[in-house]
Amino acid sequence: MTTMDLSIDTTPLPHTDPDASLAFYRDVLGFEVRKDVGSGKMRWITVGPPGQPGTSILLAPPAADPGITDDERHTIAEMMAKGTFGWIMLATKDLDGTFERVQASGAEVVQEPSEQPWGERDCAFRDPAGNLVRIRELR
Amino acid sequence: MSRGEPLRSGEEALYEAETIDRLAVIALCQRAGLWLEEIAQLLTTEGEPVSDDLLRAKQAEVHARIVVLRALESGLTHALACPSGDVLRCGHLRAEFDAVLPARHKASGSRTGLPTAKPDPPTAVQCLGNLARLRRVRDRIDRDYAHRLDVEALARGAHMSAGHLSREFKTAYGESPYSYLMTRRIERAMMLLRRGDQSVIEVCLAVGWSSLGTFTTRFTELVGMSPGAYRRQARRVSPGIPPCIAKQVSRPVRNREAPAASLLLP
Repeated sequence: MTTMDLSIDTTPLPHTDPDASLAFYRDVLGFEVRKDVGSGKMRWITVGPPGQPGTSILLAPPAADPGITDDERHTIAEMMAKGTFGWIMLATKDLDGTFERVQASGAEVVQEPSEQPWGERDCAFRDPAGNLVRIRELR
Repeated sequence: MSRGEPLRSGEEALYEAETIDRLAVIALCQRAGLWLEEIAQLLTTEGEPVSDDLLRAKQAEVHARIVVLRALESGLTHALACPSGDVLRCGHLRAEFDAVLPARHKASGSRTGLPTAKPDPPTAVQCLGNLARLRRVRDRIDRDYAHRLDVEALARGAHMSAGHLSREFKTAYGESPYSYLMTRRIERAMMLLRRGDQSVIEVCLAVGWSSLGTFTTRFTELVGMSPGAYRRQARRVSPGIPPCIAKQVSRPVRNREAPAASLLLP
């Protein structure tokens, strides 16, 4: 078996308001902004935690692909509003402190830090676009 | 503003709105205020005899103003009901006005003085705004799953009546808020029973039920076997799947009838 030299580089998360999403990831979660291209709604912003330079989140418009039909675009917009579309899992050593700070910023809380039946502790928020941001505790 | 007192609170509420068309909305309210004053003047008689023709003409003008005011009220109600930050809610207001402004006002252009931006289609806008409100309700139910469900309070927070909330929630998520909560609790109970370290009564209390009988009935109805039988049969989920995914894929689906045989989902 050949060994591949791959790493996880970028994962996309959709935004509906690029400035609002940028403010959340940069100012509330403390991510650094690695790239910011485009204007208006057509903006692609690459962010990531300072301690993890090799992996980024790309905040992107939800349905920029011209192959997406208007109906599909509308479905995606509905799912984003319903909160059933995008999600991501982050991790931290200090779950309670992180939760306090994110909650204090006024973000929508979905779940307070709680022990899950499988033995992990995690919490969950929504980012400005309705994506679910789950944060689990590293032990 | 000194005119149009009944509309004052509406204007103030909208002044707080974080929409780029805030000033346009205020202009609309001021215009309506002016109309109210004109109506008052129309109805004031100075003790002189008034001809029937004049009365009819005044009546027609008053009627025209009232129609427009009703549109404003409807638009304001819509606007106030939308979640904050929804920049498109002023489209509602303009759409309402454009729909009922008497043709002669539109033609002359003298009375309107309103911003001429194209109104956004109300249905699309309302849809997304409503869905975001429903999402917040669902998140609230998820967050407080072990507490007693208070649909009235949830509805108040979402600026809807309880009945309207239930209907809209069901349309969006496939089940009523109550049903959604019950499903959520049963799902959590299944996880706890699979873990195997708590008794059925302990699990019942942990997920928010105070009555073992109700818990057993609901569980059996949804899962297809009693909590005790499920606990006895339980085995750990495949260790490769992230726990939050395992929980999600094993979530009982409300709309399907649970098969009578054992229900051990991957």
